[in-house]
Amino acid sequence: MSALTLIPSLSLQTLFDGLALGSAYALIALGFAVVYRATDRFNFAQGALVAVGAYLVIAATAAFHLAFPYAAVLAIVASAVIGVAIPALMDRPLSARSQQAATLGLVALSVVIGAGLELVFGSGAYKFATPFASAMLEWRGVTIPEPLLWEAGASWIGIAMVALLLRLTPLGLLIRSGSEGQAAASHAGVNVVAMQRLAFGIGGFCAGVGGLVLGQREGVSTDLANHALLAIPAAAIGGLGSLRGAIIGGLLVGLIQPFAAALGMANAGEFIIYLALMALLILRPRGLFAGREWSRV
Amino acid sequence: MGVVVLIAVLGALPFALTQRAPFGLALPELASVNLTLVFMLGALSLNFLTGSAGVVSLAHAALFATGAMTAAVIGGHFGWPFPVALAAATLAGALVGLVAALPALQARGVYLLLSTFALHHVVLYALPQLKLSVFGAADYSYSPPALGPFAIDTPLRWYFLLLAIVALVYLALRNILRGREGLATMAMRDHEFGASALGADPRLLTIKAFAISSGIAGLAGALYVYLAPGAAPERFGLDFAIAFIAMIVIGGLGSPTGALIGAALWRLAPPLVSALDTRVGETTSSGAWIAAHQPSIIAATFGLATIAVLLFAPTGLAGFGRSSSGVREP
Repeated sequence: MSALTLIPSLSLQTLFDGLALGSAYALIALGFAVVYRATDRFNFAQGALVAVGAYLVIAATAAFHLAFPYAAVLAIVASAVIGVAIPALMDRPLSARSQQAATLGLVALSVVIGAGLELVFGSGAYKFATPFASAMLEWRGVTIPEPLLWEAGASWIGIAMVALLLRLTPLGLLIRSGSEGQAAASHAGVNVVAMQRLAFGIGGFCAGVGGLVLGQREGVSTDLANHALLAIPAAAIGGLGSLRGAIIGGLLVGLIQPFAAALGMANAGEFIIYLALMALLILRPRGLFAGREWSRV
Repeated sequence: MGVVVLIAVLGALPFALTQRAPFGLALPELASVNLTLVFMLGALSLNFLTGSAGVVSLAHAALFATGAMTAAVIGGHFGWPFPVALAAATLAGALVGLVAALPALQARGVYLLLSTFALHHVVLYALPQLKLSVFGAADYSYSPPALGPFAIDTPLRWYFLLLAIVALVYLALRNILRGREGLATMAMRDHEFGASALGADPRLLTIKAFAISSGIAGLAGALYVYLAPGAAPERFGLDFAIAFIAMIVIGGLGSPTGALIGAALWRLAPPLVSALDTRVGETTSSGAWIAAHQPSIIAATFGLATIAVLLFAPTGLAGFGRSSSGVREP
């Protein structure tokens, strides 16, 4: 194989790798954006919830001896339930006091979850007992590892489910109404409390599926929560609260990392992402796809 | 009267700590007390930004790292005197903090949290590169600290230097908070539109609060590495930044005294967990578990305590016994 054919195939593989990773970030960022859109909460615990989803798969396979698919479904459902529990137990009383108290509470929650996972599971790394073969698919001279397709597929199924729920059912409108004016929405008959719980539940669902994908990708360890936090710049680059922006931002964040690594700057990917976020916040804080929700900041 | 007692107690403290173990509990070394004073400085500075100006910041670890690096370059690499290194670290901290404050010109709230979050990662990536290019693979070197002809070379001398710095910063912050600017800053925290209707400029006040807070954090970072040499930039992770948030929430948001209490509690935690470990028995399985998981036990405890304080006692430990009218006196 000559160098000429090697380079495009390398970059095509990098592209697929970046797209698969980016799909996971898009999904996690989508969960972050839904919560921000519906409740104005900056859910710093989203990264920790991703780790919870991944560790739950490990726990379900180890403790209940479930096969991987059942363990995965259980973990996703449990993640969504944990998401619902956040506003029910903690966030509502805090946000009733102030936005700052709610933000601080979610930051503290991320620490509690991270430390709790370390206490229960130790600091070692786990691997999923997945049925996916590590086979390579050949496509026009490009080899794609099969798990990559599973990762991207699971992410996009998750994204599609959330998008369909918000677009095709009245729930999307109802969820959004809470952020436009809680008092008005509740006078119009919207159960604002239930809608906020639903939004956090969707956030937890996205984190659960994201944990499944990221855990499959890089193994399950305490680093997972920190890696998943990249969903926050992803959501912010597109514009906080913009669902379309979160998906595009997630893909961008996913693409930057493998390309930086392919160019020999293994750790520079994160740096570039956060530097871009910094510049964006100074120049155009509402993000690339600023919506009309600017007025409520 | 209270001030006199306080000064007497603080002055006698280092002499009381030598080699005693009342009730079988070993008292901390003076060097450990010194590190606590540095943490108090960090908590005071974050408390000014978060508690008084209302901006949640995740950049404090990065500011510590900036101060540490600046002191290493100015004091160690260029060999300039210790006070110059400290001043440079303060200035560098303030400048880096100003970068995080820039979005305040257009936006507020979560956008400032985002910018401090981004700044944390940018600084934590850039500093090791800078360290590599200045010092190579070697560790930091620092000039021996001295104030003019007076060498700061024993824990006792460090203690009185740090005590003076913490007292000065404490009084300065309290003074600011009682003055016109401080009142305007707190008004902005409580009701931004109301404050600006009364003539306060939230953008300017936010940026000033960032500069003051970040400068103190840079100073604290420089002092930190003089006390704990070789503190690599990687040591100042996100957990380090969040630890300060826990300290100020538990101590009492907006209260400088609360910040001191919170930092002291945070520093008390490791010896307490170790004492628990000794009580349980280090060779037993639960003792070994405690020893292996000490950082996580502390993190989980302080995280839960932070949530509990936010939920049930929002004025923190400093606010006990005070009216809960929501008015927080500095």
